[in-house]
Amino acid sequence: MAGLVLRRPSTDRSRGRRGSRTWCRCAILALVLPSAGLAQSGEERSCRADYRIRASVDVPAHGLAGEETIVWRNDSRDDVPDLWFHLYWNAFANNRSTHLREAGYDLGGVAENDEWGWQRVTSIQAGGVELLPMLRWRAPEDLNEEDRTVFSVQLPKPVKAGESLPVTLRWEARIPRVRRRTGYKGDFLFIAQWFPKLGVYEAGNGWNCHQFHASTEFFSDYGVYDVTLDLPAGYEGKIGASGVLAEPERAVEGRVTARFVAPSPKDQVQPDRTGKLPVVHDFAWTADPDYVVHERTFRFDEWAARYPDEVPRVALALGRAIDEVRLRDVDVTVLVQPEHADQAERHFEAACTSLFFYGLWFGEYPYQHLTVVDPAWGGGAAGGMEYPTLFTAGSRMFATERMFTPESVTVHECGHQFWYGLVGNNEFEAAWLDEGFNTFTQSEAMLRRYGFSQRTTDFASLPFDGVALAREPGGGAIAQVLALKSWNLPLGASLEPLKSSGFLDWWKLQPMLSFGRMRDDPRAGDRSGYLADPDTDPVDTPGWRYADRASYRTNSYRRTATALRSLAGMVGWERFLRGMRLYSERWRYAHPYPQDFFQAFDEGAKVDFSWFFEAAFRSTATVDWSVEVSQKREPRPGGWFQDAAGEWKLREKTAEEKEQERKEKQDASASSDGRAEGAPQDSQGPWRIDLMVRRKGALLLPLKLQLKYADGAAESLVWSREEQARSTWWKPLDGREVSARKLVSAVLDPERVYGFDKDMSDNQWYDATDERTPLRWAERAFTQYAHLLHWFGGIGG
Amino acid sequence: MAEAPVMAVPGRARPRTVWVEALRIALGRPPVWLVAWVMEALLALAPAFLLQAWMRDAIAHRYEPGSLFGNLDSMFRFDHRRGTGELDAATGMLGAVLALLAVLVGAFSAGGWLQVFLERTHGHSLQRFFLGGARYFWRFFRLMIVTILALSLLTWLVHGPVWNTLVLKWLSGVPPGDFERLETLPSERTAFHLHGLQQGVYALFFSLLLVWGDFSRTRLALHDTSSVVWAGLCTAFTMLRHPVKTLRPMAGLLFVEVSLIVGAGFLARAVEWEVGRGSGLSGVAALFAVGQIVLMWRVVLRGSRYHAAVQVSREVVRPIARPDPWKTSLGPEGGPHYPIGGDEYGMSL
Repeated sequence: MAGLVLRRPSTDRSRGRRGSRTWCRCAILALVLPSAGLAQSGEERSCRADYRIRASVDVPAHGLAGEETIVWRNDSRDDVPDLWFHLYWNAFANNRSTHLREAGYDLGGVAENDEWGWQRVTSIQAGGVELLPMLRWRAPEDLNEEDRTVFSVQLPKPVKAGESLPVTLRWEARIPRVRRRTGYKGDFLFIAQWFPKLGVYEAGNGWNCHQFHASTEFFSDYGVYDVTLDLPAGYEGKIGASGVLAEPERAVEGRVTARFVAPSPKDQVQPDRTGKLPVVHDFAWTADPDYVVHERTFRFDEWAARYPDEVPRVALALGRAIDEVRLRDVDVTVLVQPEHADQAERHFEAACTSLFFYGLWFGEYPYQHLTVVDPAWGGGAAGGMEYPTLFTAGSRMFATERMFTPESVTVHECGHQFWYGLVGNNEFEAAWLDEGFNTFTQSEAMLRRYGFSQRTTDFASLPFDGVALAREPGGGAIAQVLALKSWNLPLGASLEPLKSSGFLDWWKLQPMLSFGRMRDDPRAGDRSGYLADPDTDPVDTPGWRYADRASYRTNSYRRTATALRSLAGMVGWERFLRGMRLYSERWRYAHPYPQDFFQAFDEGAKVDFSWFFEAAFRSTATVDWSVEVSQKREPRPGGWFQDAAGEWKLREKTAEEKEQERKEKQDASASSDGRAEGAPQDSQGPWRIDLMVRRKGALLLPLKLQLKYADGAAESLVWSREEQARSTWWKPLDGREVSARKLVSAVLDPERVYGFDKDMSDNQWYDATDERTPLRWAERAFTQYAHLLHWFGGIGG
Repeated sequence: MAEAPVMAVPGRARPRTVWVEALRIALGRPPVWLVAWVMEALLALAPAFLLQAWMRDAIAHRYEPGSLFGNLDSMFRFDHRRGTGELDAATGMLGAVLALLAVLVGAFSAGGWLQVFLERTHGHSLQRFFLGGARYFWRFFRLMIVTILALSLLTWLVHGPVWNTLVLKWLSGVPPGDFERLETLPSERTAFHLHGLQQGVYALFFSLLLVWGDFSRTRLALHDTSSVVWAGLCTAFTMLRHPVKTLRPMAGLLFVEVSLIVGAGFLARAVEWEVGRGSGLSGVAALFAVGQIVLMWRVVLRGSRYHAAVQVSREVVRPIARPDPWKTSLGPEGGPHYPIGGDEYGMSL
């Protein structure tokens, strides 16, 4: 318990009613019981919630009515006197909900009246007692009385530790237009967070049941879902959901009934490789008469054959036999829109990429089935979201594979089956534990499967490989006028002689002749995303407390991924895998918090990186290293020198030196740029090298410096954290004798371990300059502009 | 209105295909198209130098030589985002000035080409090119203004409220807040087709406007008149009356241009895709050569358009009634006489 409090110092105000009281009590206990609970396992922090749901949908009226029976097992040590529930759809009921307020009152899209959605509980029964009169709306974070996304009911008697309580609820709902993850668009239905869902009861802390914020996702307990859906007959065969169909769909009198169970009955009784029985913590479903259904099976052996080195490498890193890291085969269903039917196989391939790499690194996907959903046109807001054994991707027509669309989002969302699905962190309070971990793993898996992406430019919605090197004419107001783009007239009128328009732009830019090819390392986006906003908030911040949505995204996704990549670089990939594996297996089907990760990683990797976790995840410290080099030959001795007798004497040049000087002058005059440094080394004095490494920012990380010399010699030096704490600069070559070797390069962090560096352009220095590269890219700009100006010439004549 | 009489060209058979003949004649004037090409290429040097200078500074001693030759990777682009932002702003402004200059150069070149083709001289074409460029410049400048206004009208019609109301709102039922994304449409394919139709219509009428400009300039030169509005209206009427005659040669030349660009484009892309870290400058030289050879051909093709326009205009444009310049003339009895009022002789007078 004490350990629990220590692990989450920032979460007290986010608790329910009992939270703050318990917090104080536990904080005192934390002082007297040092690290007593540090090894608390996942099971002790979770309760179990099994759902049996029956729901009917009236598609034309956008109505949904349902009944659910939840069997909640109190696995905590507390007696629990009440139940707290989420009603997420009420965030879309009006523009006064906390979600909409935080989103600037904007639901997105066209705010028509039929786009709002809500839920209304009509009955809550426990032990034969109707609890509806006891319903009380809760707004633990902002006390917003108009927010209806959380409610609680007082129980007639507390649920004792270890007891189970069946609760039956009836509710009705209006399905919102898809604006935030869930809803309808025409006949397309994507229904998520759609039933009254229990919060998570945490021993000692009370109910963890947050309001639905604009920047937060979800958190709930694991269990088994048995869901029966009743839909119009037009949806027969086109329904997808978490888990598997428990029995064939039945179509009767214009309606179709489908029963899904998650996990599948078979999975429920088959322990996974960690010895635990698979469970899930949510249930989502979708239906669309237009779906094209594509079914394939992920087979581990095929993938192991494609990456023959990867399996033994992981097994070796984890110290396990190859059979112990084998993965199960998984049936994959891709529900794809007709215009994306040609991409179904790409979705499957991307999903398999995640199942293989994530599974190999962090433990297998334990369920028999996985569903990939491609949302309908106009339902894109449902895309890019994860649910147990089902996720939504998203794509576009004419997407080429090198664009990584839809691969990127499919790999990411499928990756959430591991980070979020299996390791069920609290997405309200520590979203980075799934989003950041997943972003990191996604980039690594993408790199291995797909390599570098290709940048494209769209013309009339058709992607074209490559990009223009030089910016088109225009920009400021005057430039817009000169480039005939926009002429502002009195009374607010304006003329736009040349409007950007697909085919015309193609003809104007002549991309086939003038575009340059550019490729991106998928990992680079993590760094650039992080550095877009590097120091507004620490990573370890509850989702709704970030300064803004940009900060939420930067920290939860990108900075975390950057930090993990640095961590892997520092401890080594094998050790990193061991740390991550221990964390993911220990907290499988459980609810870890940041301290649990730190502890498990250190334990698995056998390191103590607490200093790094504090710096990377709990501070806003940044760093920008740079290296500066200046080298020149030491001049010959000249001037007055004291001799042995103490007499000052003017030093005369020797005949040899005079001859040398004459040769040097000749060389200098022969060389157009006068660089005498290019002369043979033995004709001049030794090299004096001034090298200085600087650090800006408070983030202290051990930094490697690699030096290479003209004679082929190389040396590596390390600027330790302790040294960096003492000084912001470092002159590693100071105190050394002048060198007979010329320095040809000095590179900081040569293995590119750290993505933290704010500006890597000054992390290396090379003696040689590069004249060809500017010429190479200037040619592209020249060709582009030559054809562009030819096109402009056509307007004049 | 009666069919305009065909102006016979003495001593020459009518070419079988107007655009082939136009291409042959234009290609046979290397000094003209070389000068036109050089003018455009010189303008394009400025942004290229700007980029090269910036990149030399940015790279300097900071990158391993050759490491950015094949790919300006995302690390480089991100670390230099401020610099590239400034470069983009400078290039955008410089490009805007150059674009305006290019439009003016285009107007000048049009006059030059027309002078060369209307006079039907052999040799001295460069002098006539410059003479024509200067002679017609202000007329074509005014026509350029009319063209820009017409393009604005086109934009307003196809990318503005008319399209939004007529096609999106009334025909497709898209609510006003969704004109950009079109997500209320039933499918992405429908949205794609609508966008494609809009952009296709815009490109088509844009091209037609440029063709109209070519014929208007030709009419101005052929008739040696100065009212661009009247010439434009008459040209529009002529194009409506003789759509096949006026558009077929232009379509033929466009076909040649598209074929050339696509063919050379595939070659250029193949080369560009091969330029990598270890490549030498030969690939860059090949890209340069392909780009400039295509540009030269495009310059020739633009000249060909004027030749085709002259040929077609001579067939379909009615000569305007002009007072006989020899009606009042000046000169000694028995000696040479010069007409009063004809601008060709204005200078000598």
